Amino acid sequence: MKQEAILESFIIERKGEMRQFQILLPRDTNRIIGFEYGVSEKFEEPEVPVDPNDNALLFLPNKVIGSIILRTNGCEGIFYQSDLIEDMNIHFGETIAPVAAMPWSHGRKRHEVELSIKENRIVHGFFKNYLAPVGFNSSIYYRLNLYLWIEKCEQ
Amino acid sequence: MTIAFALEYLQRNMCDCEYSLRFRHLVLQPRETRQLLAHNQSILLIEPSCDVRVESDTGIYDVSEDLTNELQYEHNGDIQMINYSIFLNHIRFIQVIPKNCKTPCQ
Repeated sequence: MKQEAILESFIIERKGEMRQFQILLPRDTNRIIGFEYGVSEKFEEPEVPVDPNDNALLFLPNKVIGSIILRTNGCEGIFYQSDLIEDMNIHFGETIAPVAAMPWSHGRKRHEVELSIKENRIVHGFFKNYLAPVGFNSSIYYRLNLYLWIEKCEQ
Repeated sequence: MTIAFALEYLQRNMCDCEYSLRFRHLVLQPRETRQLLAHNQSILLIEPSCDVRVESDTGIYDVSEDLTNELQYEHNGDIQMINYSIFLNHIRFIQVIPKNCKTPCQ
């Protein structure tokens, strides 16, 4: 079976932004076998610590960047729903661009699924941004990359 | 979305699944917020009013919302309905409740 990865990429630059997107799969797609997603080119206003003189005990949880939902038409409905968390464990390969902005996938199917899509060739996605820096002039900017792994029919 | 289009949409998108339909017409009090759980169901909004907001896991319908790039008429999961108006308002939708598939999806 021939495998391919399809990239869907878009920019988020507003607080509370919600983005609907569609991925049209090739005609000879047999099934979806996995996907991975992450954030690159991220810019966010740095946060001011509570006490600037004492950073040692400043423990902060990893930020939730947003939530993502993938679904197809028909009775399959939603097949994936999860949060996107900043700075996941890079040693386990849990993020796509851990150090610098890398436009390619690391080649592992982070989330493996088996979903036949012989009739419904469109994957609908919905992404909600939760990052909301404090401050009047604060801004955010990042690129969300979603790689969808598909398996094609034998010709 | 009109009723005729919703029915056509269902025929084309629900593969071989059988499903039952219910037409529901909610009456929302001024400024009321109502929750609807539809995790294994879908709802299709029928000609929604411009001063209601319907938000779910799969999308949002709110014509005053400027943070989204697309409004959604089909919703699943936790659905929240808000009446922005200071008057009584109505939301009509078709509730799609799937039954067991005769033939599993290929």
